[in-house]
Amino acid sequence: MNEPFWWGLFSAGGTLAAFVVPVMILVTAFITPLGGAHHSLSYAHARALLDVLVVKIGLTLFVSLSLFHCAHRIRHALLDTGLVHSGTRVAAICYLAATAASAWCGMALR
Amino acid sequence: MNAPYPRTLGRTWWVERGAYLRVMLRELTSVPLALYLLLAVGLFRAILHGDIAYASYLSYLASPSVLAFHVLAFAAALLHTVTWFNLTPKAIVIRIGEEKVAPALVAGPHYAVWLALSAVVLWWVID
Repeated sequence: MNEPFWWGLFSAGGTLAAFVVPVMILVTAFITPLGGAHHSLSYAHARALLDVLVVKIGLTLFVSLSLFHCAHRIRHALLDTGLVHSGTRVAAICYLAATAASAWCGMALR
Repeated sequence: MNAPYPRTLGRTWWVERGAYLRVMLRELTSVPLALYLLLAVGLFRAILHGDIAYASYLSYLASPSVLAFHVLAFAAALLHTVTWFNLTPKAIVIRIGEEKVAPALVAGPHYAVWLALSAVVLWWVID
């Protein structure tokens, strides 16, 4: 697992995030809690949506790739600002954190 | 004559120019983005834990500090999207003869798909 591998995950995650995250924030962070939706986001409907296997897998993949995108970016930002120095430790922390959070998402949705 | 020339970059090189600052701002969008993703997983968990958990999480999401964070996260997400799409012409170079396809024609479809997809989702949600 070398730099092109992590960059590949960064790239895939970044593309997905670019398309999906803005509207996802609007829906999950504003419309849903502020009651702007009617029956589309009632508990029954939300639950029905999350009970579908394809949705579970899709959301886990999406969240995971986006997290690896963030991890790669944070790792390189830390290196570029001189806050850390190159080495495998920072990379390991960043990517392990992304892996752990992805596993948490997968477990949550199973 | 044999000693290496001392070149230290320092840690504030990125504030010295507007262009560097904008790049660093773009990189920083990943932090609120990551935090948002964790909150989103929290929402999925809440939904799968039942209607009371869902309602309780929604009231948490509606609290002022969380809303304020999400405004920041939304701005960060938009900055990510715009900078990402604007880079696509650098990555996707289409040559026709000796000419390259104009950058707007490469980035444009990305924006169009993004807006269309977002509109469909919003329309479906708001019903």
